[in-house]
Amino acid sequence: MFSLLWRFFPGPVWLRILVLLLVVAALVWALITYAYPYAATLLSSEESTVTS
Amino acid sequence: MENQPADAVVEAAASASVPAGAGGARHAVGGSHARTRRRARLSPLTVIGELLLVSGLAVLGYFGWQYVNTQVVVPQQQQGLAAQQSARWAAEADPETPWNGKIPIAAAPAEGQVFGVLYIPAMGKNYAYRVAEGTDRPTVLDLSDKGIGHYDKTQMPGATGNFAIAAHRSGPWVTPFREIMRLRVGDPIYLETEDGWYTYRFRSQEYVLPTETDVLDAFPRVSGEPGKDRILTLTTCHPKEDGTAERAITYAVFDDFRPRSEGAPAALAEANSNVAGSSAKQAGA
Repeated sequence: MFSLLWRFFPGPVWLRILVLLLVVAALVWALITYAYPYAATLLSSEESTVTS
Repeated sequence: MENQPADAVVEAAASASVPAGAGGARHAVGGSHARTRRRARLSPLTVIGELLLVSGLAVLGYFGWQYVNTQVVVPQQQQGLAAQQSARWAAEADPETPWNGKIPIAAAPAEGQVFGVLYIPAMGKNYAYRVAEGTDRPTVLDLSDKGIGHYDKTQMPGATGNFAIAAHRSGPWVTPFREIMRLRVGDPIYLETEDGWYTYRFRSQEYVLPTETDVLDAFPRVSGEPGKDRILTLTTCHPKEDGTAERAITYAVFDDFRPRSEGAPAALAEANSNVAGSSAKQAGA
């Protein structure tokens, strides 16, 4: 998978590294904006109130 | 390392027919350069392994995100919202009407409505969170722009009795009471409302079971009519990072009230760099 990705982008090594870093940044952004908040709604069971 | 056996196979294939290594030999012969030969077929195991690596990093990132979100992003957002809220109240205030000297009782707000800002300098220099009505999780406690909820069956600030509020201590959204154990006896807790600033002083803490609702009594743990005391009760979960088996209950008692016309308490303005304007007013007074 990593090797496919590496071959998918054209250009010299420095350009590929740059493009792949941008792809990683976009992935991280998507995780923080969409995936993590969604996961939080499924995972958390924190309670802070007292109820009978 | 892979090249050497492959080359050997190529040589062998050239000289004689080798049925066992035929597949490898054909592949090696088809690609004349070493570079093309190295492109082995992508094994599904490799793909699975790489996907596992990536998802492992993503899960690790979730924990990092949780921390950054509740410790950096949301506190800053809340401090900004608190400053806006305070400025709005200041703009709405009627400077012509003097304070009548009585401690005002905040009007009961609608469910989910923000009616106060809580400042606890002991839990962070610029600590400020907005307080809303109700302790419903999806509409108050889990929302990063609210976070602290008032038990709607308890009294409002200023009234004799118990003003009880709840907030998360850990979790991914908003954790206003995370550092509640930093409070020391006598530490001030400020609640700003439309009318002004109520100052409470931290008195004590205890751990209870989630079902012990008598901590919300007009005088905590004592049933009956409210006395003369004005109590502030903060409830949150315990242990801090590990489950919700218990509740940490924090009590504070009312100390002082400053009307909006007199500006924020000097100690609060000194501790919190976002609380502005009051020092100038006090210098004038």
